[in-house]
Amino acid sequence: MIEDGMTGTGDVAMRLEGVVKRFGDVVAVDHIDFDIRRSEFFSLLGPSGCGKTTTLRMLAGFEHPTEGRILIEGNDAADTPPHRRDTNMVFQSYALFPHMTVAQNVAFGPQRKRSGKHEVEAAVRDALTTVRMDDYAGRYPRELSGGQQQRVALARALANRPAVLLLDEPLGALDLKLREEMQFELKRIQRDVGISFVYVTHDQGEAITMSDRIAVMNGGRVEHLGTPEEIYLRPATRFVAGFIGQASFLPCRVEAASADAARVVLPGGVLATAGGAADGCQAGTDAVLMLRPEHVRLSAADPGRPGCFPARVVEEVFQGAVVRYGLEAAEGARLTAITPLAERLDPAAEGRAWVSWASEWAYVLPAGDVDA
Amino acid sequence: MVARPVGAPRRRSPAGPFYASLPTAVLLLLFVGPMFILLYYSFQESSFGQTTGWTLENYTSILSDPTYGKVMLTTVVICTVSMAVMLALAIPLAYLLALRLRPKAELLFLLLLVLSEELNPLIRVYAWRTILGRQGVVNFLLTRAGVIDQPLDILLFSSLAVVIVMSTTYVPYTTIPIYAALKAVDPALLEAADDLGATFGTRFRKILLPLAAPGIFVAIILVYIPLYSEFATPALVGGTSGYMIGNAIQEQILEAGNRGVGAAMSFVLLVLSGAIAFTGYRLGRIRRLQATA
Amino acid sequence: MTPAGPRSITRLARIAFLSGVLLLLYGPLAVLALFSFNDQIIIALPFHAFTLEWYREALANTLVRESLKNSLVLATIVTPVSVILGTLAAFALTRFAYRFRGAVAVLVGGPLVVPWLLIAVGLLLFFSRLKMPLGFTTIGLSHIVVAFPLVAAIVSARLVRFDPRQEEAARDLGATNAEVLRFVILPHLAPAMAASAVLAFSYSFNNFVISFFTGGFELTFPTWVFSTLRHAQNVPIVNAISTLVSGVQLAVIVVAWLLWNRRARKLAGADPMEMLW
Repeated sequence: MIEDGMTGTGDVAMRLEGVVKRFGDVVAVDHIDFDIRRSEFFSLLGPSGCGKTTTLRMLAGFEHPTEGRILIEGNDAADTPPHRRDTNMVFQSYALFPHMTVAQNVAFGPQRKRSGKHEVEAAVRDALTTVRMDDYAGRYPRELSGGQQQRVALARALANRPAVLLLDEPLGALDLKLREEMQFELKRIQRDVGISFVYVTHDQGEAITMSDRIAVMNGGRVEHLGTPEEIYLRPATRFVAGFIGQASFLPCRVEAASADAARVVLPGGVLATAGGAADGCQAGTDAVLMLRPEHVRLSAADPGRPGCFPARVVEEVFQGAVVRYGLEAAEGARLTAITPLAERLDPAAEGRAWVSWASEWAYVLPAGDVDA
Repeated sequence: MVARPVGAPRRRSPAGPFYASLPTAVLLLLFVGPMFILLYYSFQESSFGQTTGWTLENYTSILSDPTYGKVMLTTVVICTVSMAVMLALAIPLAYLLALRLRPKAELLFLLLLVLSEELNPLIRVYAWRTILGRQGVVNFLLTRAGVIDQPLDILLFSSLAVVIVMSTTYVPYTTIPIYAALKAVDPALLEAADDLGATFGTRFRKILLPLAAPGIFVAIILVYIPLYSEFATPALVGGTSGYMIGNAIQEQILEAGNRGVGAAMSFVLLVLSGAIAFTGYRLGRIRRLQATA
Repeated sequence: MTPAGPRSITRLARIAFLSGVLLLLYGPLAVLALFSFNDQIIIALPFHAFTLEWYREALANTLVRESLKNSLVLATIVTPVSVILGTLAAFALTRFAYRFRGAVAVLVGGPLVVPWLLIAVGLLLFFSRLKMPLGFTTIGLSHIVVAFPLVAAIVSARLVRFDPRQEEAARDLGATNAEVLRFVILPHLAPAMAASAVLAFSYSFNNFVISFFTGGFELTFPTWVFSTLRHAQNVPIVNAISTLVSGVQLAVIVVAWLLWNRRARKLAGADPMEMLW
C-alpha cells in the first residue's frame, strides 16, 4: 500500500487507523489506514465486494470497526453515533423521504439542529441553489427524475455543512450521459463548497475524472493510494494496473529494478527497459511488464532500438479514431496496442509487426495475483 | 458487502420484547385464556354455570349421539357444497379480474367486491330471506313468467337456502386470494404458451391452475373454516333441514345452559378447523413447490 | 386472433358473468331497499305504494336507536385501541429479532385463524368464570382481541417494506430515535394504519357472533337485527334501518377511497395501491 506522506492534523479531516471489519467469519475490511484531507475529493475505488461501501458506512457510523479506530477531527469517533457525527451521507438509492417535499427533505437536517426558522430557510435555499434545484422546492420526490432526485439528496446532505460528505455510488442509477454531466457537477460543487468528499465507486473512469486522490481497494485491503496520474502510470500492483484502464502484461525476469528505472528480460530473450518498478520487484525474480495499449508503438520494420521484438497480429479492430490490435509475441505472450488511425499498419505487413515503446511509459510490477 | 435485505430485523434489542409485551399480554389473557377455559369446560360436568366435576361424558355423549352425527354431516355437506359453488364462481372471476380486464375496470370491480364485504352480513341474510320466501322476489318472478305454478318452498328454510346465502356472502373472500395469486403470474408465460400452440384449455390446466393453486388453498383456508362455525345464517334461513353445528353449540351454551357439552362441541370443531387448515397448508405448499415461477 | 363473431360472444359472456356476480352481491341489498319504501307490511311483490313510514318508525324505535348508539360507541372506542395494539404488534414482529418472535407471531395470528364462534364461546366461558357481568365492557374487550391482529397484519405488510436506508438517512441527518419514528416511520405507515382503522371499525360495527355471545343483554345493532328477525317474518323497519345503515357504510367507504386516491396520486404517482404495500 502506498501513501504519500502529508502530515499535520490541520489538514486532516478524518483518519482511519488499522481498521478491520468482520462479519462473522468474513473479513470485509482488512487493516486499512489512510487520511482524508480537508477539501479533497477522495475516492474509494474497487470491484463489488472489495469493502469500499463497508468502509464508507464505518465513516458514517452505521457500522463499527471490529478493530482499529476512526478519528474525526482528531477525536476517536467510536462513541459518536451517526446523528452526532460531522459527516453526512448521500445514498445510492437517494433515500428521500417520500411524504415530504423537496424543501422539507432538505430542511430536515438543519431542523434537527434546532436552528432558528430563518437559518433553516437560508440553509435550504443555499443548498438548493448549489445543486440548481431552486425551482423544485415544492415538488414531491416521486415527481422528479432520477437525476433530480440525486441532486436533492445531495442538497439534503450539504444543507448541514458537514466537514466530510460521504457518497455511496450516487451516480449508479443514472444513464451514461446524465452520469457524465453529474460528474462535472459534483466536482464543481465540491470545489465551490470546499468540503471533503469521500466517494465510493466501481467505475474507474469516474474516479479518475473526479478525484484528487484514489484508494484502490481489493479484498478488503487498499492496494494503492495516490493521485489518478500516479495510479494510472505507476500502479502498485497488477490488480490496480488491470482495474484502471487497459493494460498488457508481459511476463519477464527482473535484471535490475528501482523506482525510476528497470531492466527486464522478456520472453524470447529480449532485453527491455522500463520507467520504473513497483515495490516487490527484486533482481532475479519473475515479474510483469505493464504496457498501456496507447503506449505501444507498432512498425512494419525493425526500428533497430533495444527492447523491441517482433509479434504476430492476431486481431485488428477498427474503432473510429483508433485501431486496436491484438498481438502475440514469443512464448505466447499477448499484448494489445491502440494506434491512431493515421498510423495504422500497412496491410502489406502481412500480419507481422515490430513492437516498441518509449521506456518511460513501461512499468514493472510484481507477478502477484490478478484476482479482481 | 453483506447486504441486509430490505425490512429485515436490524438487531437483537430489548425494544422488541418491549413492543411485544402489551399485545402479547392482551392475547394471552383474552385469547389463550379463553381457549384453555373452553378446553377445561369441555371436561367438566356442568349445568347453568355450575361446574361439578371432571368427566369425559361431554365428549362421549356427543360422539355417540346419532343426532350429533346427523348435524355434523349436514354441516359438512352444506359447507363443502358452498365451497365448491364459490370456487366455481371465484376462479373464473379471479381470472377475469387479474388477466382480462382493463386496469380501470379491474380496480373498480375489486373495489365493488371489497365494498360488499362492508355490508353487515346479517342484513344480507335478511335480504335473502326476503327474496327466497314463498312470497319472495324469486318465486314472484318465476310465477309471473309462468315457469312454475306453485311457489317453491325449498328455497327458504332449507339447506339449499343456507348454501345460497353463504355462497354469495363469501365470494369476495374466496376471489381475492386467487386473484392475488394470478396477478403474480407473468402474462408473458401465457403468451409464450399461446405462441407454442397451446389451446385455452391446455393453458388453463397446465399453467394457470398450478400457478393459482396457492391462492386457491389460501382461499379454502380463509373461507372453508369460517363456514363451519356459521350459525346466524342457518338460524335465520336454515329451518330444520339446514341446522348446523354452530346452531347446536349456540343452543347448548346459551339456551340449554349445557356448557360442558357446548364446550366439547366447540373443541371438536376447533380440532376439525385445525385439521383443515393444516391439510390445506400442506397441500398448498406442495403445489407451490411444483409451480414455482 | 379470434374472428369478430366468437370474440363478441366471449365479451358478452364475460359481461354477463360479471354482471351476474354483481347482482348476487348487491341485488339482495337493492331488494331490501326497495321494500323499505313499500307501503305494505308483508315483504312481497308487487310493489304497493311509496312511503317513508318505515324509516320514521325505525328511527323512532328506542331499541333501534340504542343498539345503533351502542354499536357506534363500541366501534369508536375499539378502533383506536386496536390500531395502537396492532401497530405495536407490527413493530414487534417486523423490526426486531428476539428469541420469542416466532411464538409472538403465532399468537398474534391466532384470532385470525380460529373461527369466531369458538373465540366467542371461549370468551363467554372465560368472563363468566371470572364472574364478570356481560355487557359493554366484555363486548369491547372481545372486539379488540379479534380486531387488532388484523391491524397487525396490515401494518406489518407495510412496515416490512420500509426502506432501511430512509431510516439511516434520517439518523445521518441528526434525528433521534423518537424523531425517526415521528417523521419517517409513522408517516410511511399512515396509509396502512388508516386502512386498518377503517377495517377495524367495520369489524366491530358489523360484528355479530362475538357480540352475541359476550354481550349478555346488551344490544348492538347486529344482535338487535338478529333477535328481531328470529321472532318475526315480516319486519319492514329492519328493511328501512338496514338500508340506511348500509347506505351510510357504503358512502363512508367511497369517500375514504376518494380521499385515499387523491393523496396517493400526489405521493405515490400512478399507482394508488403502492401506498398500501
